[in-house]
Amino acid sequence: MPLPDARPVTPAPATDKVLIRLEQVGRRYHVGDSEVVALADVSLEVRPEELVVVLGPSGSGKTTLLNMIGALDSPTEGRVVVAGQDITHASRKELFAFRRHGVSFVFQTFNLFPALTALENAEFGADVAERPDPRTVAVEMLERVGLGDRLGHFPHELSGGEQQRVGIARALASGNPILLADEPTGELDFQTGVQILELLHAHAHTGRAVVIVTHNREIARIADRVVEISSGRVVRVGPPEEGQVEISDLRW
Amino acid sequence: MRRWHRQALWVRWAIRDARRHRFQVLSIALLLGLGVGMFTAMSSMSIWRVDSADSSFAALRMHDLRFSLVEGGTAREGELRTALTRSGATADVAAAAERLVVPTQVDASTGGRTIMVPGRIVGAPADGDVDTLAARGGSLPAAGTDVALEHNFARHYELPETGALTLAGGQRVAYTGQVLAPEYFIVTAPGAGFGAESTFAVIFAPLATAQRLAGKPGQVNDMVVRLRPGADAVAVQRQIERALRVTLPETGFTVTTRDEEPAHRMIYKDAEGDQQLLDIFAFLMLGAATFAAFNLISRTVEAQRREIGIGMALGVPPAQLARRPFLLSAQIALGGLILGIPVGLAADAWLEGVLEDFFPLPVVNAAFQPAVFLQGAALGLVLPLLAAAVPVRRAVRVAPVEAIQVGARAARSSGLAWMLKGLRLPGGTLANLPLRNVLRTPRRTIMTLLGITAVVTIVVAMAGLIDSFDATLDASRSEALTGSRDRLTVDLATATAADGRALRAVTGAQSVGDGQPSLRLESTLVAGRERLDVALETVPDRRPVWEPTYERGALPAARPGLLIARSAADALDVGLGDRVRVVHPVPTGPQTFRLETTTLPVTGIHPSPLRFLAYTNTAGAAALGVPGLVNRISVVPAAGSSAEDVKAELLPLPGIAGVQGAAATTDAVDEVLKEFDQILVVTVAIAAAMALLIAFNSTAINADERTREHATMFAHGVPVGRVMLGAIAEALLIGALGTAVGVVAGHAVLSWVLTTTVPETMPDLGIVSAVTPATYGVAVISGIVVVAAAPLLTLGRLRRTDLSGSLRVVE
Repeated sequence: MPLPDARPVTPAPATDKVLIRLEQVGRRYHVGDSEVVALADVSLEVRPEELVVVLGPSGSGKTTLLNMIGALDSPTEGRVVVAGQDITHASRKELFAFRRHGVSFVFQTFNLFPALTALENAEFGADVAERPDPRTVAVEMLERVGLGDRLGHFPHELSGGEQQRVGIARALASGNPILLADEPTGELDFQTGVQILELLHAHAHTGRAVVIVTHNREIARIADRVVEISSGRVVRVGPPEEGQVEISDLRW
Repeated sequence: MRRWHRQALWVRWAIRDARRHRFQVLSIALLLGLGVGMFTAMSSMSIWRVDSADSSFAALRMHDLRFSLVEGGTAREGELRTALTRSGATADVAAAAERLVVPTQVDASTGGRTIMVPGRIVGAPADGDVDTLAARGGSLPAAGTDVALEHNFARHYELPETGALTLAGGQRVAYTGQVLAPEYFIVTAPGAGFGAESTFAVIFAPLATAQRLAGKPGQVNDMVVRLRPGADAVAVQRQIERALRVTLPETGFTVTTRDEEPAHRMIYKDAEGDQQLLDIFAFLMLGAATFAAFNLISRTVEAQRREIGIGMALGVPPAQLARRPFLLSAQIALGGLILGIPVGLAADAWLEGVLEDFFPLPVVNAAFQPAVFLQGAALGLVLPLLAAAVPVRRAVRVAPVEAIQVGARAARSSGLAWMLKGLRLPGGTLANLPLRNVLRTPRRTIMTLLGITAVVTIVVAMAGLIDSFDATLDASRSEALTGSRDRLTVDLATATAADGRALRAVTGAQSVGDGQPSLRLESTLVAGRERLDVALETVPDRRPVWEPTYERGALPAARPGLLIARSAADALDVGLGDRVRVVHPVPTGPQTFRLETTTLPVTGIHPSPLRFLAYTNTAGAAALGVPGLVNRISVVPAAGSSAEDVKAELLPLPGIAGVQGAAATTDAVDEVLKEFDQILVVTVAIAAAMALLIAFNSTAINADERTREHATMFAHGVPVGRVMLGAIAEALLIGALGTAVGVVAGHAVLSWVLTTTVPETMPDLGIVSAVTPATYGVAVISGIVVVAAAPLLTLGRLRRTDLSGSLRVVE
């Protein structure tokens, strides 16, 4: 697919408040003698209550983009402002603080702590975000994701879907305004994947922003906006190309 | 060729595995190297000692039997040989020599340094073929007034090869050289069960010279006999005993066989006892290394779980799949072996030096012991492979479909973390995580814990041994110096009446404040079948200078009583009120004594750890048939005088055999044990280094295994310092637990050593078990502080975590 000459224009939703702003962001890596461009000239804005899906094939740069927003990586060009904070040149200490209070993650491989129970894993999210009464918050979040009866279970005692729901509960428990999900259904069967998407979708409409990274074009159909990436560049931004559908109508 | 290529692939693969974990592999190889090297060196000690002792005793033609007249008794020169001739045992005797062995005082002061100690003159025929001397500097005395000085004493005070000495009575003699003699390879003083080179000097002289110096011309009191190979020692001994009783009916004598000679007995017993101790530590060191190797190999196999699964899915036989982890183990073992050689050689050289310092012998065989090294090397090779066997077996028994699964189904078990389910500990989830992690990987926790336990066991047992010796000697010193820290004992050359001239001269000396006469008799206590040699001393009714402490009972005022050490009571299995037979000398003439047996009741127990100290009262002395006799005086310096002043004033007086501090025996033992301390201190230092290696290894494995967890924490904004704190807390928990178990195990080993090995090698020392706070401090530093600090070694790696990559790792 040829790259568009013009920089894609991000259509802004109704609200003026911007939670994520990327301005001409680029990321280059040096591998041996050669330079790899992981991202180039990406501009993007995400507002509260938006569910944005970053769509692209493997190696397209979508995870790098997510890492920029989540302050796990820093751009080599451009500017990143998230939750009102310019994290482009933030110090290591500021980046850690930003991750505690600005964003929360849901990972493809769940990344739960094996030694902690479901409740404790969720509580961890509230703990590090320094929320008052983290245990109550954790119980509430686990009940919200339907795991009220699995609080004392360790990760290895839970199914994949349950583990991912714990991961989401942990992210929600932080109470942070932005939730970043990297291939959250990648490890799950269809039915479980749908349940996870429902949770993320519901969360996006509680005043927060959700950014999901996926290579699955079908999943992109639940997004408010889809950011398509190819070879490190944004090639399309807009509503789902195949039309938006209800989660219950998804098929893959 | 194809087969070789296939093998080469596995080897290459295993080499890459080792390179990937190079720091851990190196640390475990170093641990193994320390274990193998120390094992080799420590295990060689007893072989060297026994070899060297055998060769040295043979080279100097040590006697098989020694016949000694009771202390103070003498015979005319030739009488003892006559008895030997009459015994009918001459056909079995290869060589015999009459000797004169008498106590003296030796003043070896040199270069402004005062060296005055009690000692002994050993006079023997210069051309004798039994108990010959080996010169260690200078030459043997030929005739005239020249003598030779015992080497251990001379070496202790760094005396020149030749020089001059002043003996009791102010006699000035020249020594022509320093010598080693089989009876004094380990120097023992009368009443002291072991080494006393700092406080006891032995002078060797031709018989005529000794007789003249002792003022006993033509007199002897001792005969040493060397038997022909194959002779029946017991029969010969009985024949000579019978002949002596006939030839010298009025004189008692004692017989000492070669095995009973303190130097002979101690060298072999000590070698055997020390070896048991060293073996324990050598095995503990190897054990610690093995536990660490097990950890790394387990982790490596775990990390290869999917690859093993893929291999199984592709039809590779499990035995072939097992090659890779085994080849990794082999590399660790080989590294350990290679590092073990220099460690072993260095430890060999060091221990050889300690050995030469501790027991200078005329013949030293401290050759490298290939058999011992091979034994250590074999253990060093086999242990890592055994360590690999368990995890490898577990890995290849898993169904391929299980091994290759990822995601939720591959989620790691929470181990024993369920034990804390529902238990709410203070602090948030982060604060609770270290304890959970400790329980989550129980196998690794246990292996690390065992490694630390082994190290702390070594520390507590080794340092505890030093503490126990110190405590024992302190107790002994404290008992000897009760009442006055400056107390001295003055030994008279012969027993004399309580109003004798020598006694009056001592108590009337200007530098002497007060004096308390007593009689000290080399005796044997007998109860049932148990016999115990003691120095039995009478305690007068008036005790202005010193009196023993009573742990139980006392010495009664009017009736005979016997006060013995607690350890002596245990050895004889007697208590207060029990009656004990005392075999003791009784004078039968000016120069003759006979042995008699008198029964005395045990009326008191004293707390001194020196088992050979026993006391009786004036009524007891009367019961023994030695009332009013004196051969020792306890004195305290007069106001304004020092102990040195007393020695300087009393030494030249006639009839004085020796003047020494009351705690001289204890000080002598202390000096000897300090040499042994070196081994203990170095072992403790090596153990602490091993603790660091074990902890580093465990931490590095944890850091490797938990990369994803740490990245997840960083993704949640948990600072590096907080994650490091968690790792430190986890190490601290394992370290504390390992230390606690190690302290208990160390106490058990110490207790075992003190109740089995030490009593055999040092039977006269009623050892007091003690572990000082300093030892606990070293244990805490080795087992907790060092272990807790080990995670800091991975701080750089933690800071460099590739967040993005680590978070997406599929294990």
